[in-house]
Amino acid sequence: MYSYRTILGVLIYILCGHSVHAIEQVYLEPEIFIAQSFDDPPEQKILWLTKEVKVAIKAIIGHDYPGLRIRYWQQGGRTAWILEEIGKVKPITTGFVLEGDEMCAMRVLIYRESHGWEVRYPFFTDQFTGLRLDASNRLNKPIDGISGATLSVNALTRLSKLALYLHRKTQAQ
Amino acid sequence: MKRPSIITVWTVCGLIWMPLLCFAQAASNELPSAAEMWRIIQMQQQQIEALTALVQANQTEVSSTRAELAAAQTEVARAQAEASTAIAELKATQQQVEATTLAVEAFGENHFSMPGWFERTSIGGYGELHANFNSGADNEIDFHRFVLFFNHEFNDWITLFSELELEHSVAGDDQNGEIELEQAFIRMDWSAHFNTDAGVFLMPVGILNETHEPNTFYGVERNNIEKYILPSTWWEAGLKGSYRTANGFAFDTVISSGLDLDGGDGYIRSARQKVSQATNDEAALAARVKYSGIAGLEIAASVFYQDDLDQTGDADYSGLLSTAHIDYSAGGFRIRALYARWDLSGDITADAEEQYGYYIEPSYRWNLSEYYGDLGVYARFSDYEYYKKGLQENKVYEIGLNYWPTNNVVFKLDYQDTNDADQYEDIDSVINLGVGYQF
Repeated sequence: MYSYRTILGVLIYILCGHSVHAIEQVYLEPEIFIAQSFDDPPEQKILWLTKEVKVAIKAIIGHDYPGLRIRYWQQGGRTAWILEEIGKVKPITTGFVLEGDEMCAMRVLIYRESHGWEVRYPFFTDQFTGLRLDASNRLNKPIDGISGATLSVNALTRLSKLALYLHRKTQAQ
Repeated sequence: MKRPSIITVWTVCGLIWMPLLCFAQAASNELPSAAEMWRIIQMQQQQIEALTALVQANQTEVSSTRAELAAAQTEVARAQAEASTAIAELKATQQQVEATTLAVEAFGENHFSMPGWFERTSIGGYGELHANFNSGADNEIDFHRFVLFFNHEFNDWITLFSELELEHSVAGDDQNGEIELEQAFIRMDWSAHFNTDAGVFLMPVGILNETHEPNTFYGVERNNIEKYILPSTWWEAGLKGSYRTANGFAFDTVISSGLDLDGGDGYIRSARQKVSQATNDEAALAARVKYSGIAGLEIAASVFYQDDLDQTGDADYSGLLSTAHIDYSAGGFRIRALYARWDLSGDITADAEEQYGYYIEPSYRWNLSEYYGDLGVYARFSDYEYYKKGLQENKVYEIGLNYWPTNNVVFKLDYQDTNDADQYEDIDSVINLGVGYQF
């Protein structure tokens, strides 16, 4: 029984040594992400999910995207999007910045799964910089996964294709 | 002064009057006649009348043009008024559309005005059907696992994670199956880097013990090292702390309930109490360090220690489990390798003191097409020894393939050469078929 007391005491010491204040799983506030993505305040716009767009979205992510429209932010040829997709059981809120025909940055803003925390760190998200879509809506390079976070990685890969498609759609308008 | 002569006068007069008479004569020769004058006058009259008519016509045309211009100006004014009205109506319509859209979106988010708890509860699950064609024994088909996850977010930093499983289709007395609570823990996210789990959770050992949905690994059956050595799926009740760093390191520490291993049996897998009225005289400790700071790479090592593995028996022996693994993927290529060993020390059968195993598994996955999904092939070599009423020495060679028509569904086919594996007894080889899913 001595082991219980000693071990519990050590654990309590460790727990108390940390900053014990509740911080959400919000790694980056969406508003701050948008502000950081542009030099000047961007113009907020709306992309309506018309029938044509819905069909294309479903082909990309495998299901309908919820809502009647998607908000995005634009300054010149640069756009930013905040999109969500379910990883294992909960949605992952992700921000994308695109310019020209490629992705400039990807950030996981809110993560709600029990595993797969690695997806929010630069050693994983840096892979998304420079992503492009070919004519068949396929990515120009593979995304290396994370063991134990396969579903989250797959969800972020789908979202990146969606962001590239939506960006291309707005540039064509 | 001398008076001019008459001749001179007459000469002068003549000189004067002669040109005048000549001029008059010339003039009387150019004048038109009265008739010509009348004709000229008539012509001029006609010209005047024509000009007058032309002027009148122009005046009429100008009047008409002015009238048309006035009418056009009136029309323009009317059109401008209509355009202004249309613009106003368009703006009003846009506002109505915006309001309607906001209402529809809010309606959808509120899930038809369901209570808030529903919004914070999620359901997931996985399942797998196995068919085993044994060379040297009866074939078997079995819905091995039907699993449901129920998660609930109490607030932004406290979440319930739970996992309920039905094994082998039918549970109950004299049935092959079981209904088990594999996970039920409260996670508290104290910071972006640190969280605690309190309740029933999966032990942080190996590769498959925490992540074992069928679409995440090759082979119909889970590899035998993690099944018989670790022993997966292994869960305990207790408290776990997890700390992560931005450069990819993660540290987990656990204090939990322990195994209860009957010394005579020595079969680690049977020592799992599954937190079912479990004996809790001896706490167990576990720790893991993991590195995943390079995309596609995971390296981890873990230890588990229990001072007395035989909690309910008279024997007294400790158990130390050590594991290490690497999981690396680049593009379609992947390789997994894992080593695990038990060191039991004390009052235990000598053959059971060391139980260990390792496997190595290269694989490659192709994307057939966006529509048809992925196909993967693998090979695995497993070498392991465990104790179950005697030492079981095994070498298993296997190859197989997985087909993912979509990422969350998998079809599996593999061949196992079990000729050199004690645990399979008379079974020389096995062909396995399987289908699995996750949602």
